Amino acid sequence: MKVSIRHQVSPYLVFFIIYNSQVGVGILSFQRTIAEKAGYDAWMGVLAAGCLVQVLIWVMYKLLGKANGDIIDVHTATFGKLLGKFLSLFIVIYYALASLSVMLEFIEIIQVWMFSAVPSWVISALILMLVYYCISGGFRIVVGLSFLSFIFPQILILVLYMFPLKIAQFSNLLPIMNHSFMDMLDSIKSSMYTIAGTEALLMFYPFIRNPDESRKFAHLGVLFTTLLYTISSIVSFTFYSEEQLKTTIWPELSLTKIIKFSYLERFEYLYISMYLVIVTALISLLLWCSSRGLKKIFNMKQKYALLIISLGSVLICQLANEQFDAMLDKYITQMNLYAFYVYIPLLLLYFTLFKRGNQSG
Amino acid sequence: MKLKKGGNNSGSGTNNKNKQKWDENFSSSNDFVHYHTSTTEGDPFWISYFRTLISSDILHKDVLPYLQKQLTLKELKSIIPIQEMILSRDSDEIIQNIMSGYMAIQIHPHDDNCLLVNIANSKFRDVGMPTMEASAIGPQVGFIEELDTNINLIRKRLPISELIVKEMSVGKLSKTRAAVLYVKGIADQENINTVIQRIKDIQYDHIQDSSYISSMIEDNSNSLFPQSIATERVDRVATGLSEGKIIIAADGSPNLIILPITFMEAFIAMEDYSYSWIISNFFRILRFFAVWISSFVTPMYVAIMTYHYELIPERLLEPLVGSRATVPFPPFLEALFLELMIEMVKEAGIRLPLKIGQSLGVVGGIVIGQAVVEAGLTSNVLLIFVGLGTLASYTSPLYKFSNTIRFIKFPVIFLAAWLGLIGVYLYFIFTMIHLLRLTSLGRPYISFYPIRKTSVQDLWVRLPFSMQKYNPKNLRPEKKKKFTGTKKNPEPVNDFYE
Amino acid sequence: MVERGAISVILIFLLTGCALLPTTIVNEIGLIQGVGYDLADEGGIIETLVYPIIKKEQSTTTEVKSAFGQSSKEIRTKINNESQIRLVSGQLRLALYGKTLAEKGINDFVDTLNRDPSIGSIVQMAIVDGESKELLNLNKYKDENISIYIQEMLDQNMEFGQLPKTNLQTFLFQLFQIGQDPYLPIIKNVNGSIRISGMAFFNYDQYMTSIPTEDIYMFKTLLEKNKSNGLQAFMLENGDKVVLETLYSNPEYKVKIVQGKPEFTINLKMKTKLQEFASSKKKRQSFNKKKYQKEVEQQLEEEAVKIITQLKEQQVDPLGLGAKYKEHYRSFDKKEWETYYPDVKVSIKANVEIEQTGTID
Repeated sequence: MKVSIRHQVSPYLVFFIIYNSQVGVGILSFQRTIAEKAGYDAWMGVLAAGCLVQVLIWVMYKLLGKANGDIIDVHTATFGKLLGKFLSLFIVIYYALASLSVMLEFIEIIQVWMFSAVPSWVISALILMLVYYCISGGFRIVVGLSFLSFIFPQILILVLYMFPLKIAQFSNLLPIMNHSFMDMLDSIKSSMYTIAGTEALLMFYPFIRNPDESRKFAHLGVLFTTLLYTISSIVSFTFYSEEQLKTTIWPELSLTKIIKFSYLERFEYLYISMYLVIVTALISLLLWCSSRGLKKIFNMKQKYALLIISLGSVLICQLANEQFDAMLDKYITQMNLYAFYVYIPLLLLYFTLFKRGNQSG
Repeated sequence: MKLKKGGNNSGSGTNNKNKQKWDENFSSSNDFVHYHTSTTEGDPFWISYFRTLISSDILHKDVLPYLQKQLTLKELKSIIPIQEMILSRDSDEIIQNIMSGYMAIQIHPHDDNCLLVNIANSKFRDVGMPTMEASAIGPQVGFIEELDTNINLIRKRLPISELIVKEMSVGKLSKTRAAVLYVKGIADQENINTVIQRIKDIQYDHIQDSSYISSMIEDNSNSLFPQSIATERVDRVATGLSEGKIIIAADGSPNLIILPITFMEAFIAMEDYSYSWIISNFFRILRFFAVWISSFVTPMYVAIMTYHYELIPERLLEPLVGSRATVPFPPFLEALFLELMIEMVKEAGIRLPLKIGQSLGVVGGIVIGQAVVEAGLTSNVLLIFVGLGTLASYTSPLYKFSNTIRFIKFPVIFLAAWLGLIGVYLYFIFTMIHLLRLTSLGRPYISFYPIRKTSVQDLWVRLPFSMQKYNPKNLRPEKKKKFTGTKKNPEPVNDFYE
Repeated sequence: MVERGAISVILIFLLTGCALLPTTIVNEIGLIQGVGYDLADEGGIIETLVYPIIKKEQSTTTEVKSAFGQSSKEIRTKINNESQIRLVSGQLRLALYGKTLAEKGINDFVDTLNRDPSIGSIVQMAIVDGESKELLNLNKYKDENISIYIQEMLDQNMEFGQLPKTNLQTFLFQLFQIGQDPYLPIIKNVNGSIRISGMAFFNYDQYMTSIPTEDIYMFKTLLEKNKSNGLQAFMLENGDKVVLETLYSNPEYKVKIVQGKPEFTINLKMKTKLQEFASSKKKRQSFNKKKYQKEVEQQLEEEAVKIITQLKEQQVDPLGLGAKYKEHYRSFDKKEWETYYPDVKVSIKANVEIEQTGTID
């Protein structure tokens, strides 16, 4: 099932896909989570996690390059049809759950900051309608939206860091390396989930026109997001005192309150609305992966796969409570860690050793 | 073209029935003339023509005097001092030529053989100025309602044999002559085939304007965004042709269709090329932002005034709130009311005769606007925004596009009143996805994705001519490079002048 | 067609789903711009709210209303009962606290400012010497928007004058910072007009001590790098009067640990411009830069020591000496530091450079 060249994207666009897959609403709140144990040394944890993601990218490229297809092809080639599809289903469900968790978090932000009265299902239905419209245009449109989300809000958001940096207390970061190794490990672990997302590569790999050439753009994308998250955490760390940060649920949003122009102030409202672009792009990417996976596994139309996931998401968004949110977060974090940092490297190992043996034998 | 082919195949022979038919069809029209030049029964000649199509001057001076003697058609052909003459017995060819201004000369009223003489009226209407796409400097030539004149104008600007004109007729009843123009060797053959095929596939009774054709062959006819340019500027058409674009012209329409196009081309005025590249960049970027301002300024006002009062700085609070203090409607109705009023003024201004239209604009714009504000029905700050937005929408050089821009804001006003800034951004994302999905002749419509080097030289910005080396890549031109023979200024070698 | 039908049904549902979002149309709400808290005799608090009544083509009047209660938002509801327009807090610019209330701690009344997402973080805060209710009701400012007046008065003094920069964000930062205590300006009603009368220092959220207006600039100089062009007058021992305008000043803190205890050295670097000079000899004489630099340095040092001694005695640390100690000392312990603080050794070395003497020498 080769993807026709008309639907493939240029290698350099991988940069934007990778960027988009990693940046979601997590960036608004991760500063607090990573600093929980490692304090203001946690920004180094982000850098370390970024390096690990670089390794994961390398592993994924190796694996997919050998199989010359997506993860489902790898699974069927390794474990046969039935078991392979079963394992792929897990990955596909992961994408759907990840998009659900992004959606839930974003809805919570809207409800806390802007409209406490708006029902969850309205926001989720509106976003998913846009997502449906986007995905039905094909992968190129999904990538286009990723590209757009980089050009329009992201660059502006980077420029707006200027304001908190003007009053930054860089001495907050001192003394450097004042936490135990275990604390640092914890910050790496919690950063991992925030900058997770590159696993979308497992699905869209066949859609890259020249995968070998795209490899450097994928690494650049991870580098960019790692730096983005590091800068973002440093901005927060220098803006808040340590105890203050621990009381703030969305540090990135709260700090935009100080942005003030002569014609507009209180940028957090604009921020949340601008993040709508980023969130829609991210959910489009994740649901594209998920619905394409279902299409390949069950030989169904992608349209129906997407509709089923969307309707399910709207329903869950409306019914979800805090307990469910917490549980979902926990499971996704675990799944992300084990599925992609343990299972995928093992799969590569297995694939290299046994497949080569099979072919020669 | 089809007609000719059919005619060739049927060849000579039993054309009597056909001839009866053309006689019959023609004579049902009142302007068809068919008479005998001699009073004697059985003598030559019988002539037929459409009096609306021919020049009677030529007929009387150059043709009729020779028809007094008894000659064969061949002899006649050699003495009549007109270049374009065809001896034909193919009824389809005869019909077509008579329709385009030839006269038919027969020896007997029901002969197969005709001499077709071109006595078409070659004195065309005067060409006009481009009225909708005016420019301060640059050529002031616009197309008119005559296809031949229009093609004539284009041929004058591109006098090359590679400029191909493919004519066809569209419309079951109107039989409108349409022409597809392109430069062979530059334009992509796939694009050309698509256009010709789509025009041939048109199934409609009457085509009154080239816009009928463009909206029938567009990729997505439900889109608000024009996927082709309808222009009346000769220079725009010539530029497009030389870059590898395809032109569709229809008889009876002063607007020629250019396609494929991209979104950014709505911000390109032909005047840009008459200024220094720095100045024209300034204006091009200004137009681009004006369009965004136009479609989002009123919705933002509605969103902020209805939900997000926190965003207003303290210095602006007093003017904004003060101007709204006595307004009894919510911002949504207030904005809708003003926007619709401006649209009505504009609409009435177009429909009315020029002089009345102008004074109505004054009455509508100034008098009503002032009165509405004084009566406290709308705020004067909003009046400024709405006025600004309307003004900004007209900065686009394309009339169709500025209509799109002004229409777009109505759904946003609804969404802003419903979900505030979230609504505005939802709409923004929707528009963006829509633009990303849109294609013009199967080529991406939005010009910034995917990024192309050629979009930088003359799309988002206009670089100096010496740096515009390539034809736009999104057109997939067969000729990649523009011929750049322009000499650079003599430069000192790594140093200042002495 | 089925799809279109489905979409329109969804749209209708969506429109009915939240057509009734509560609006806050600007001219139908009361925009609270200033708020004042005072301790009531009966044990509760009295809250005063200030909101403008903006009219078309007329000067704005302000409405000042007070009520008694236990908590901030409870009183809001009470005042709402006597207002023709709904009161909202998204435009809050000023929060005042009565001195007696501040002595008991203001944390409870800062909490709501911090918690409410509609309140920005550049809200000006000040302590009122007296009652904030009385101050906000001053007759002189009846026709003026008093909250904006006070806010701008404080703003301009922070930007160009003597006051160090404070607002809700800095207050919270210092409140939560380990090893630093917050400080806020004090304003006072002096014969019917409002005036900045000093700087209040807190221990956590309790008002402890203050310094008079004359010393505020010295405090600001010690606190942070500044280029605010504030004026400082020096009456020298021999009776000469020198007034200097600061072009640039930078306090450099050096921490040394001697026998397990920290010692601080402040290298105060100042670049100044002579604004006024009057010799005690009542005779015009040219300005001797070197001589006066020395004398000014000496006086600066004395003043600084005076302020720091007062702070140490009162056990408040607005300069953040503790935080600076923490930056340099890895095993920092808060309890231990608190016992060190009253006797900690702080030495000051001023280095004043008079760069310009104006147009005459």
